[in-house]
Amino acid sequence: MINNKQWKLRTSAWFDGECSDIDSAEVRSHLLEDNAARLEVQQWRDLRADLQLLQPEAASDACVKRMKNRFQDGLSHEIYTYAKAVQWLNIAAALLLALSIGGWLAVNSKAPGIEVYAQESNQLDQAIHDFLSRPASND
Amino acid sequence: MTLSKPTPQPILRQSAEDLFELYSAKIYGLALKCGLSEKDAEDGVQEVFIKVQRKLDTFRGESALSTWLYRVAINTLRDHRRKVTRYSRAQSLNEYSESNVAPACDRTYSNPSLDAERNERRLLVRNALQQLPEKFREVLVLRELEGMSYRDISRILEVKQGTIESRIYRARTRLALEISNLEGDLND
Repeated sequence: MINNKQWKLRTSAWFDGECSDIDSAEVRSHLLEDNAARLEVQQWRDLRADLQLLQPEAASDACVKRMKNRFQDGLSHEIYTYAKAVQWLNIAAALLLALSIGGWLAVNSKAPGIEVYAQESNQLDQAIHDFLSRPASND
Repeated sequence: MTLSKPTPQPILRQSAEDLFELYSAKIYGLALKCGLSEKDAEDGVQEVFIKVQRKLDTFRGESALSTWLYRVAINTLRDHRRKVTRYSRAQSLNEYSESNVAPACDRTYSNPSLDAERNERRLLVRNALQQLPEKFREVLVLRELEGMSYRDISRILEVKQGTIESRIYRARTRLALEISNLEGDLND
């Protein structure tokens, strides 16, 4: 048994030509019996006519041309922005690579100067230690 | 019987520029029907096709290209409309009512009073349509003004066909109510 709401939905679908043949026949016989349903369908017809008032006129050639120009500008900007982004990415990648190599070299390479300095420093430490360790003179 | 996966359509190697040539006028019309002013509709068309350019690679040919394009358009125009409404609601509405999208046939009307009457009715219907929630307005535009089938609408909006059926019914009921309310306001 179809309830009232289901009838309404089915009638609406029939109104839009979205029903099967069997459903259409059922809706038509339902409409013959139900005055309120007929009135509702009439209301939808009026609505459809009303909505057709909102059909816009076709875009003018000037309008299409204007939109095309704007779109091409937008497209160029898009491509330019993309190219810029790629360029900055390349720069960032190069910097990162340079920093990584620099860091790696700093950690892993042993510069000779540093070792010598360490030796000198050790000798100095030893000299200071020796000086401080001397027994105090009686003078 | 086993259901086989729908065979994807061969992907047309079209650029966004080709699609612009084919569909820009239609999308412009759709933007106007969605309630944008002429200027905002032009902006909207540009946004749609820039998005198409960005997303064209993601089109897999599982639906018709036009369905995919309309999906992108509806989503983009929805966002654009929200943006416009947020920032310049009053301005946009005024522009629309002044510039207006009178059908070409109106210009050949010889009866000024009939013209005025139709324009008044058009504004009233338009305002009533604007009062509807977005989801109702969209289905009515696609069904009544674009003449699409429930199936196409469900694919574009990515909503089940049964939902579209009931949404259209509810949208009609709601629009009839809004029109009746606005007519009541005019008569008071």
